[in-house]
Amino acid sequence: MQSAAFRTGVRESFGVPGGVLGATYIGFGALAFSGGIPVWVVIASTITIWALPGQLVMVDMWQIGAPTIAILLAVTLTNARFLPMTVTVMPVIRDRGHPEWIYYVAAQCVAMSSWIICMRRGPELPARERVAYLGGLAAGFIAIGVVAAVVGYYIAESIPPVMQIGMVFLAPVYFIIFLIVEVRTRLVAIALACGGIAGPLLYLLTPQWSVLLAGFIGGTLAYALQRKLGRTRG
Amino acid sequence: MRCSESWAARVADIGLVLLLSALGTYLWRGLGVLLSGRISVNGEFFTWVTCVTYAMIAGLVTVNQGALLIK
Repeated sequence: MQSAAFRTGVRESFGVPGGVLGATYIGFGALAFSGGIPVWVVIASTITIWALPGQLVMVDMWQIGAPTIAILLAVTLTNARFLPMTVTVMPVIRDRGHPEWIYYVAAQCVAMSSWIICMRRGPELPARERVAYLGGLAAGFIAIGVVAAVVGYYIAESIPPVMQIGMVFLAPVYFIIFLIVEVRTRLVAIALACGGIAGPLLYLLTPQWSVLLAGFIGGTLAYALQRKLGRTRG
Repeated sequence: MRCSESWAARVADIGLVLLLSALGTYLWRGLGVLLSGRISVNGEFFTWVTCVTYAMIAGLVTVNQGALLIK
């Protein structure tokens, strides 16, 4: 049962989302090549960090010679969204039949791609199978990411720099559109709108904290709005 | 590029950067598992965390797109 759910996850990763993710990682591989990053770092970072914005920050800062501690802080800050993302996906995949450590392994699977798909697909599956499904989904996505990044690395010189950057932003845009189209509750719709608008405004004030603050301020605003709307409708 | 350094020093240097970046990233994921066991899904706090999560994801995308346009 578990391996069947894992295979379902792998199979579903090889669809449109996987294709978009592949194009994105081709862009990442090409950018890494242009930045003089060794190919093994491209592969290892895709597996161990598994978060494109964080990987980009690491590559960018390393190539300009930033101190190690500064890179560590910047990457960690960039990936702070994984805390609330993991908190919200865990109740979806948690099942009493599994030992707790499974979830610490599954946590590594939490990234925008697998999170968005698991939040939607998870509740449709039997509770026991969800963690294996997430594992399969992430394994497929990571495999696609690694292969695509290596391909991008070796064909970097034939991709114009503007296109390399454009490709890197394909997946985030695709997944946010996926999220908007699939939105099922008013709460999520309001939260997406508040965060999406707050982000660029906060960027003007403080670029490095803008995403985190967009989450806290936009999210709190959305929570308050939802409560107010909930009351008026009784 | 840091071409002046030896090959081994370069590997050690970026290897350390990679290791620390991976650990710093996992910190949030691991902490998320730890906290998720202590938060009631039906509580108001969980609803707020859900709002923060979606707002942060939307903010990440619009900020990145905005930064790209400025570039």
